Amino acid sequence: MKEVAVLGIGMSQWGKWPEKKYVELAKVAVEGALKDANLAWKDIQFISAGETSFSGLLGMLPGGVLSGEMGWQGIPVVNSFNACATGAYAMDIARARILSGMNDVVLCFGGETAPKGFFAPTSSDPQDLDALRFMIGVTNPTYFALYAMRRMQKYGTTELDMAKVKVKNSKHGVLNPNARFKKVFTVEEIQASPMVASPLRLMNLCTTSDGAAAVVLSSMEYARKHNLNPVKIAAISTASAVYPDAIINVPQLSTDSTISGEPGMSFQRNVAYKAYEEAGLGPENMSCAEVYDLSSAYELDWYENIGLCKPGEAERLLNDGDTSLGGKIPVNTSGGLGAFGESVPAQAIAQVCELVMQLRGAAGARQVQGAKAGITINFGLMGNASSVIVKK
Amino acid sequence: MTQNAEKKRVPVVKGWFDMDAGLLVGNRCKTCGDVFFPRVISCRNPNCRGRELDEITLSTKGKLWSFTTNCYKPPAPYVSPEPFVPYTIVVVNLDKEKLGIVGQLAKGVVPEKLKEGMEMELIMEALYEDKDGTEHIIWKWKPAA
Repeated sequence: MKEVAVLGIGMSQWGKWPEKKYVELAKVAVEGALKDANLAWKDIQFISAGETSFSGLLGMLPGGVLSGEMGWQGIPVVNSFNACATGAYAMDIARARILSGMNDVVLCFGGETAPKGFFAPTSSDPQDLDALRFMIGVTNPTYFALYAMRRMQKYGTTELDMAKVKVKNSKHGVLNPNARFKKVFTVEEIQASPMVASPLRLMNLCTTSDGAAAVVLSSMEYARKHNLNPVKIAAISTASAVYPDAIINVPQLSTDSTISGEPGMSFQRNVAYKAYEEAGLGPENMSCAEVYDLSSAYELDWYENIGLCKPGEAERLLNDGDTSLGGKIPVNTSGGLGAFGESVPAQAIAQVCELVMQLRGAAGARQVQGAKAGITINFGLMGNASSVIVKK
Repeated sequence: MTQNAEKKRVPVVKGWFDMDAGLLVGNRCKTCGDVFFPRVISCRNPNCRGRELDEITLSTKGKLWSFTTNCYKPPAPYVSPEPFVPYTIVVVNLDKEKLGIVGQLAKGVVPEKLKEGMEMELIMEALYEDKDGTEHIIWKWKPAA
């Protein structure tokens, strides 16, 4: 697959501001990305926006809402929603516009202001699967707890291992000005936090946050014409689930049956390997990774699914310090969702912002020395997942 | 007759189970043999696409895949006792149908007794009781006798 250039990146501060509208945060990120790209609003030829499900009709139309704030200029705008992978799909649409030759410079962004606490269903009709699973009490953390418990039984993962993931990410997050949580947590604090869904404690789970991220993408020709040497997007995998899926995924209450055939590569692994295939690179070429640490145990699963180690070896990788800053393959140098919280349409773009900073050598105290390439992972409900590979 | 037996009982959701028979209701593709729960309109196997399905009831026993105890009250439409009582969610894999099903652990079973791979058994039990005293019934799992 041909590459596209990342000309600019921008992020808002992530946090919790009940009085703010999502577009205020999005505007900060977009203006940051334009400034970083040394471009003006009028240089943008196409807008690919990630929708937020928490702001009603106007949340479904963020590209237009932003254009209203920044000034309409007659360019096409598309809005899309793909759960936690929304931002990657927005970049995928942008890339298709660029590679088809339709546009040279495209803006992608996502921003959200989310309610506090558990994500809740929008319906109470039991015929709606999302409502039914909440009636039974199968909240989002329930799924991650089921995976974590499975991991503990299968590989002997301990509560201490999970706490160490959080400690690591909090040490990274404290170095990131855009992170929401800027405190280094101790194992003792994490293990003293209340149990949410055993074995996951409050501090093993990520929270919901308000935040935004944006990137300006362009064709390589445009970048060359302007004498730029940008970081490139080498792959955007938005592989969906494959039947039969033998893992219980949000919001399902059952798995597929495997009577007619055993599952091939798992959905989680497939999404990353599709990205490697597209980039012509492998896990051994990665300098750093931003993975979907919705829970501390889930981060360990991702080490294996993206090929940083074999199944069952993630704890060793963590405990050897390989995935910490200064280690062989630092993971979640941004602080991850543990330090940011989830802002659904923004998080996949925010991960790319972090990798671009790393590959530019502009990550400051979080810098991975000599970073050449990095991979991201996001995983959402209803078969939506993404993996982006960024390289120098 | 116990007081419980006189209570009005209604299923939480229609079409997923036979409350009186104590069985989950699914269907099986006549072409590829894959089983679906809940029922589907046509086979979901992309290599098959069979249009004819038999309605079946599922096995009532399977093996515990994983479990978790929820310690926080979920948002509505979860109906919680006051004060909230923690509850356990389990995933049970049915050997014959080769699929996993999520459900609550039956009342009175302590989660400390659970162990991955143990045999579990389906039961029908009240998920909650409404203000009129009607029991809203759902499938749950308990360790097999």
